[in-house]
Amino acid sequence: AERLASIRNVLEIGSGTGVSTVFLGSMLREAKNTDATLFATDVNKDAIRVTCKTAKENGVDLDSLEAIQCDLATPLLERLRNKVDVLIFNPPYVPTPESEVGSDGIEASWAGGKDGRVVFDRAIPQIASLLSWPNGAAYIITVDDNKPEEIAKTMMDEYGIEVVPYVRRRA
Amino acid sequence: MRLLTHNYLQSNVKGTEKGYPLTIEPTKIEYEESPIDMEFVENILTKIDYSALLSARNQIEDRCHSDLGSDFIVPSLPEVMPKRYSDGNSKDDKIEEDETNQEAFLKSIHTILFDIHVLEGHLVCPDTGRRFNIKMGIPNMILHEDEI
Repeated sequence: AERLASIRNVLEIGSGTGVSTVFLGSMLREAKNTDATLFATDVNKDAIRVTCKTAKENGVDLDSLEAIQCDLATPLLERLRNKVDVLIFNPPYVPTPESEVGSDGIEASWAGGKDGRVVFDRAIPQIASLLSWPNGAAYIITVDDNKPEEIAKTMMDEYGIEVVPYVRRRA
Repeated sequence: MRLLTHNYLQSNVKGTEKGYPLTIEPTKIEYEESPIDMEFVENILTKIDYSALLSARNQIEDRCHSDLGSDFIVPSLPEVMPKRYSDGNSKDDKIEEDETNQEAFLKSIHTILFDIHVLEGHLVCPDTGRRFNIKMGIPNMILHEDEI
C-alpha cells in the first residue's frame, strides 16, 4: 500500500484493451493515491479507443488516463524522462518473419520478428530513460524464445537496471 | 485529447530541435464536466509545464466559443502560477492569497486540464511545422519511416 501511495507516474506501452493500466488505476484509487497520472500508448487507434472505454467503464477515467496513439513512448520521452514509477509493457513477443513486424493492425499485438525481440529491443533504451531512480520498475512479459537471460544481461551491463523474474507460467 | 495530455506531447521527428510545446489547432471541441479532486489538482500542478498550458488554453479559446456556445467561458489563468504551486516545496506553507482565490484557481485548472476535450484538429510542431492529427479525441503521434 505504501508503494501504491507513492506512485506518481504510470506508463503502459502497447495498452491494447487497457486492462493492465486500468486495473492498476483502480488499485491506486483504492489506495487513495491522489497523485498518479496514467499514460497509455499504442500504435493501433482502435486499441486506444478501447483503452479509454475500459477506463471509463471502470471509473478510472475520473482521475487521469492519458491515451496516445504512437510508437512505443516516443512523444513522451522528454517530459517523462526519469519520472515513470511503474512501466508496463506486454510487447509483441512472438517470433515471426520480419515482414510481419511494423504494421499498425492486429498483428502489431504479437509480431516480434527474430526471436520475438525486434520491438522489445527498440523499447529498451526508452524504458531505461523513462524509469525513475531508484525505485522505478518496469513489468514486462517475455517468453523463453525472447532469451530473457540475454535481456537481463543487456539491461544490467548497459543501463544498470536489474532484471528479476517475477512470475513464470506455462502458456 | 485533454490539455493535460497535450502538456506531455513532443514531436521527436529527426532533426527537430525542440518540438515542444505543440500548437493546438482544434476543429472540434467537447466539454464534459467531471468532479473536482482538489488534492489531485494541486499534485498535478507540480508536474505540468505551466507556460505550455497557458498557450494551449489560449489556442483553444476561439473553438470553445464556437463549439460550446456563448454561455461557456474558458476560465482565465494568471500569467504566472501562484507561488505555492510553482515551488513544489511550499505547497504546505501558510497560504499567501486568500482561500477563495486559491479555490478559484484550482477549479480553473481542473476545467482546463481535464474537462475540455479536443476531438478533432491538429497538433503542430513549433520547430518544423509537422502536423499531427487528432481524430476521435486521439492524437496520432506516429512518425513516418524517414522521420525516425
